Amino acid sequence: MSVRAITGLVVLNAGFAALGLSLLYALRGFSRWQDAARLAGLGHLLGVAAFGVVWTELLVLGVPFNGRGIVATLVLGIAGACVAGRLLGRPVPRLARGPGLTTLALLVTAAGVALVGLLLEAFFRAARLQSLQASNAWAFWVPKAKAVYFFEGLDEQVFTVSAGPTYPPLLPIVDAAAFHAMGSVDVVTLHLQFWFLLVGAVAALAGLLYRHVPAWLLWPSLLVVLVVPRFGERLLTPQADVLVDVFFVLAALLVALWLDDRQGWRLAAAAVLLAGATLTKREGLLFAAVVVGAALVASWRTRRRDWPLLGAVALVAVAAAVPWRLWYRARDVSGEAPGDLGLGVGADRTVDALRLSLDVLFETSLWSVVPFLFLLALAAGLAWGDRRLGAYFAIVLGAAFLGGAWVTYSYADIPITANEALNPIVRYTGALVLLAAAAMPLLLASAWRHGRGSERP
Amino acid sequence: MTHRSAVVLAAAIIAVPLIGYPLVVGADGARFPSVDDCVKIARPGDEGELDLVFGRRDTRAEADELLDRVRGVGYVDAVVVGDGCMRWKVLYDGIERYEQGLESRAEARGAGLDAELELEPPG
Repeated sequence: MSVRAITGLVVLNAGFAALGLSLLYALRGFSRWQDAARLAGLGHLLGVAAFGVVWTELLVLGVPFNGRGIVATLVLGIAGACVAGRLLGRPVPRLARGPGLTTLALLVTAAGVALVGLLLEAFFRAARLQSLQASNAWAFWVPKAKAVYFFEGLDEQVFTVSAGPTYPPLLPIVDAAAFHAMGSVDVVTLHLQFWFLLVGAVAALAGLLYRHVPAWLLWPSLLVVLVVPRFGERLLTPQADVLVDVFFVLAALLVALWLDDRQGWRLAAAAVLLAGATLTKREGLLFAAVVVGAALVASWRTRRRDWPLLGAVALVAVAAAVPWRLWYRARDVSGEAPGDLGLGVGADRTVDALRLSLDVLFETSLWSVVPFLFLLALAAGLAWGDRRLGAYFAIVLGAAFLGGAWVTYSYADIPITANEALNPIVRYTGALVLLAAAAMPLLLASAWRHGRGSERP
Repeated sequence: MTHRSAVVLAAAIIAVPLIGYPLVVGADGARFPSVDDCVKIARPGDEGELDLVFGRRDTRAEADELLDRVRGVGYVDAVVVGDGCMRWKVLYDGIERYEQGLESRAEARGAGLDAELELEPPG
């Protein structure tokens, strides 16, 4: 609530961004500082994922989590990645003029940045003095973060007795780092940490898509998703839903772009983000499987070259997820997945679960017109654009949609309802809608380019 | 339109709203709550529960030290509780009337304690 707490969060998130940008420097290099600025949002989320994954494994090993440890992780990570980049022959970035925008693209970009920026400023006002109201936040996400902060680790009592004992600890770790940065367990200003994640996510989407879609497609898509009713209400809730959604969407987008240009750094970054997703929420594993599975299908023709790379991505995500699962299983905690994976459920419940997922996905009071616009974009992409790209997004979203229905029908004790207190389908569907919004400009740009027979903007 | 003037216009499109909005909103002063918001000094006529607060400390250990001192003076029922602003306060909650609170405060101050009569926070 104080300026000091806000300053602490600024420093912490600058540290996350520096860590992620250093990793990107090692993975791909930056020939110009402008490239680093363009990918700063991706760097921020990459830094959060890498920090969270590393500290999850360290906490499982019993390493104490404290202020010195946080600083050491960031400093060592940044220095190590920069040294690795130099050893790999990456050039030192320089200030140089890049390819210029047309006047129209420049003005559209400026208008987009201004509108999105205004919205983010309004979100900042809302977040700065928000009390801890969301039930899952005060019931277990924030208490777990307090446990990490006060007891410097995975306190066995808190983590095995609280609700959701199988939920991974990445978010509580990030929250606990925020408490250290703020200087206290300030659960009001904690909402601003989620504002920083939101800013990072918007910047990451814009930075990733900037060179692949025209400005007049990019910025309206970002604006549409930011003003979706559900996101407006929940983007700053201190729960893990938005963070896992963002990791999933950015990873799916990176893989889509990799399918187009085969730049290896995109897969490496996607692997880190998917590893982060598996340690943020249980459905992170499902999301990782969906992205890798869709990429396997989309790269069928080049499978000899591409599948080992995709296998490595899957390996990284699974390897990151295992230690935490071993930790809670060693303490007799179970229940991450239904015992029979839902195979013993009747056909009626399956149909009901599918119908519920469909109803929730096309509920305009939640997601406005985003799912409808995505279907139009997908149809345009498949008809006139890059069909492999369209097929990839169709598979990712189709499989993720079925995954949501599976969650409902496989847990017999979850009622068929959109009531969030009883069924997580609404929270889950947020990931699909966010990905649909991110995929939309890419699909439309693909159709536009192919229709005009032109190159990228 | 030249490229240079387009760049200037683009910069204005971004800067004017993004700087103007916080300036307009903050014109009447952006409020930054502080730890002082958890201190509600009782006034004559105030309704609600009253506490005689002997001080606040940043850590529980420091608050316990103050508690020992307060009990040593005679307030054996004094306790340490969180004040809602990340601090610990030492208080005696047996105050029933404002006038009684003033007398107790005077006695405590006479014994060298930095006491204040405060409204008990809700809940």
